[in-house]
Amino acid sequence: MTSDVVAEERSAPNPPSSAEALPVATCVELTKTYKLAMGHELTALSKLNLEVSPNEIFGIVGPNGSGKTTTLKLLLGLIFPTSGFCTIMGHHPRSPLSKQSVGFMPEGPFFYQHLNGAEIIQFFGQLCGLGGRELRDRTEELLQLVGMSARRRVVISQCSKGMVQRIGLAAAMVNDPDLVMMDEPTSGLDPIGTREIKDLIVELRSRGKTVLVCSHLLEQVQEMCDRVAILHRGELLRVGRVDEILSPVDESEVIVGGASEELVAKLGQMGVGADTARRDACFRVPSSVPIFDVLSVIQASGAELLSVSKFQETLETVFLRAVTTGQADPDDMRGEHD
Amino acid sequence: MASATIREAKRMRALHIILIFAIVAIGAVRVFKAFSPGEEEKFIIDTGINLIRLFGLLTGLMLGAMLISTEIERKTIHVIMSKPISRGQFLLGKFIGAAAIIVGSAVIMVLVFMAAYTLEFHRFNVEVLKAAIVIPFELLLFMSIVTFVSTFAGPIFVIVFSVSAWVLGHVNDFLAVIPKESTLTAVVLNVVGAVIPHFDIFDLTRPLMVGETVPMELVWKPIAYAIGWVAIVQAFAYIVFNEREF
Repeated sequence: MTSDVVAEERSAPNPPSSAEALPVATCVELTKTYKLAMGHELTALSKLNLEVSPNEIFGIVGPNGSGKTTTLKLLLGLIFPTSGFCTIMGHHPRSPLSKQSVGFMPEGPFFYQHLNGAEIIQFFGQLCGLGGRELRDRTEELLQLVGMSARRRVVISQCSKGMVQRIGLAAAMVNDPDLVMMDEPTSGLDPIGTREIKDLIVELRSRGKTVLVCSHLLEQVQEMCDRVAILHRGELLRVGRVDEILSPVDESEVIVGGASEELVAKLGQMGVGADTARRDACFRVPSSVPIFDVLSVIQASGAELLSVSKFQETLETVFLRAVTTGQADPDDMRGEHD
Repeated sequence: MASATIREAKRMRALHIILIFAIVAIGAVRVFKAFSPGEEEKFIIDTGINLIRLFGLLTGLMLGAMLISTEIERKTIHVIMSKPISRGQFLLGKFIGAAAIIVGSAVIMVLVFMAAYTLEFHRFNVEVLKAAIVIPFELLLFMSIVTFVSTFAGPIFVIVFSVSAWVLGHVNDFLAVIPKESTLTAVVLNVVGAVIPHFDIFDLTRPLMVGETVPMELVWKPIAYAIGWVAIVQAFAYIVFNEREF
């Protein structure tokens, strides 16, 4: 497993804009073990080797308890490794030098309830040594970036979850960091809020920032990220570019409405797999089976042909396959996000 | 960080209520003289100074309960610690903010008490002021202990430990002289006597109760003692907080 990971990591090309640049975040054999009662131990993260390159969106995915947040906390110096080490911009995570280049947005950020959005940004700006006109201008710029200019005076206690999330992102960005870390950035947001946050993350990359996103929402990560690392029970299962992890599958996907059991059985005999759990049956046709033969059978059965497309593997299927081969339990993916 | 702590504290209604209640109680301290006919002045001095102490402690406990544990509970500390601010700066800022609130409140209570005393007896008594002026420093030391405990414990433990330290500190001299029945008791009491600050040195009302003046030495020594202890306790708080995981 480890050698596969290393090989994959080595073969993965760096993002085109900064192929020669040093990694912004590095984890080397990073391990975190918690001591529990009665002498028991819990390994939250085990020998993680990871490099985040400049100007990329890097996703760490995995179910609850896989070690995503632990990784972020270690990178931020909030907790300390049991063994191994990590660096941010080549500095120790607890060094103020590393903090100057980092912004962090926790899951469901909770700010001082009596402050409004502008005051929150200014508070964190002051912590970063900003002041006067520079801070005012920066606050204005960030409020515009996250779409909160018109609602700048709304106090946090009256803000919606989406608004707090935006302010959290602005607070993370106040020191104009090179690396922005986000823990479940779309947690609890409605589809519109989710879309906006995703757009903001992509916008950050276009501004030359590096974004490290932790999420258990695989579909979102697949959509946004350049590279991903799949964690499960503290172990790194896969890491690499999304398009490489999603191995090309030479199959077609046929969606059929009103497919009878007879049709499913008949196509099964031809070597066509079926997923009948959905409302419309989904058939995966391997390249070895002529697609026109399959379509003829469907037409003859009287079922309604809805669509024919090239099958595209998703991060979810990759994840499920990875945890299965790793003897892990894919049911763990069912968490609070469901 | 200090200004944020002050701003947060200023929004706490409980602190407003304590301060208003304290001002009313201390300002109306003359009503207590009825409890001690013939000893009115002594009773007013004793009651007034102890009210300042009591309300100061309540303020300190209210602040202490929210000082650091709330930041951790709400995870605000995750965002703060991701900024270029050291743990020492964070802790010092928190302490300075809380100290400013508690000392400020104590100074207001001392002024109210001195005004009430002067109005009651139609004279300004500098000896009473000497006894009262050390109270803000006692509360500063108390706040320091509260800050220290809050670096590793939750609100309930902060309250229990800090109040216990304050009570033991007030009977520290007594602990030294009580008969020790076993070696273990002697060791425990000696350790407590050594690690708990002597809060009893801030009680300057004894000379006033027997009509004596308060020597300046009894004023500046507790002040210097408080400042020294605050430095030590804050150093320990930093050591603990620096190793804490969030």
